[in-house]
Amino acid sequence: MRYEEDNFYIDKILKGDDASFALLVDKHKTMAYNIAFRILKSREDAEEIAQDSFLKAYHSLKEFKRESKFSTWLYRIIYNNSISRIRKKKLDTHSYNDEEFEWMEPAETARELDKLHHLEQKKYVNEALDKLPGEDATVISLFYMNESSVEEISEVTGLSQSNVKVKLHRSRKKLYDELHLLLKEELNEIV
Amino acid sequence: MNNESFKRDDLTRKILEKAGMEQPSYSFTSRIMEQIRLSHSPEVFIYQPVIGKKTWMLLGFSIVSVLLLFMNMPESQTPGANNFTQYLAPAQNAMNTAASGFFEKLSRLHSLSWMAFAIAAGWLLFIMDRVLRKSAVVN
Repeated sequence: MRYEEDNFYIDKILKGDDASFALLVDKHKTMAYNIAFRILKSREDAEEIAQDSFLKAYHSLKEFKRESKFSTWLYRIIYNNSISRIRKKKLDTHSYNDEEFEWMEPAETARELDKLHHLEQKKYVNEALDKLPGEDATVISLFYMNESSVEEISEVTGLSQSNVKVKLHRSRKKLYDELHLLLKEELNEIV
Repeated sequence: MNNESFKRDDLTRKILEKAGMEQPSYSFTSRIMEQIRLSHSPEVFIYQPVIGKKTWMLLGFSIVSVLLLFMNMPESQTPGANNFTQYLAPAQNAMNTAASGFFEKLSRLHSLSWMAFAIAAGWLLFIMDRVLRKSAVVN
């Protein structure tokens, strides 16, 4: 489905057309859900937080000043709600030691991945993403999957732009390391 | 961004493309819209009686029990029964006086002060009822 610009829907919603909000939800629900899911690592929690955040956005729409993109504003609500939920649950994010794994050539990991069936590739990449701390997985998802800029990610997460760049660099390394480890385990199981 | 970093960036993008995005449930949007619809509907108040059914039954049972107890109790077995009737006597007299006075006053209903008193008492009861009902609101 081809969507209009966000402001087109926002104007209609503010005039009382609630049906336009359904279109706005459809347009952004996948990324919104993915942000919550990458942080919370639970489908049920992610769905609940994403829905609550959309409702919060709906009720606060009058306060949206349009200084940033609607998606950035919405993702920030989702990000903050997910972080609050995780703090309430006192879930410890996966602590990662940079020295934990041997450094592998990314191209080699990618080649190993290419040998697998499409569904298996999806499974391993998702498993590797699940093993990353929530913040890292969100930064990497926003940058590579949503094509958000460093500036937008900085607005969503509240991190400085230089911190986002550092996180992106480290998250990529962690992703490759996790992926390499998973593929190595798979190889050992086959052998 | 140097060449190696760019290459890795491209690789990461390709790898993440393989993972694809997680999808929310099919009813994701409809559930949000249902919540919005509910938030627009007016609040529903369910009024509950100030004195519950059980309390009324308990009160009735207590009054009937006390009356039956006194009616069936032989005079000789009720210590202080004389005293009791002795205390009741002035009240009985007062009631008789009040009743006769009431009928007398009925004939003088045209008196403005009585009418004003009745209207004020009626309003007081109405206001008390509203206040008590509101305090017992259940959403």
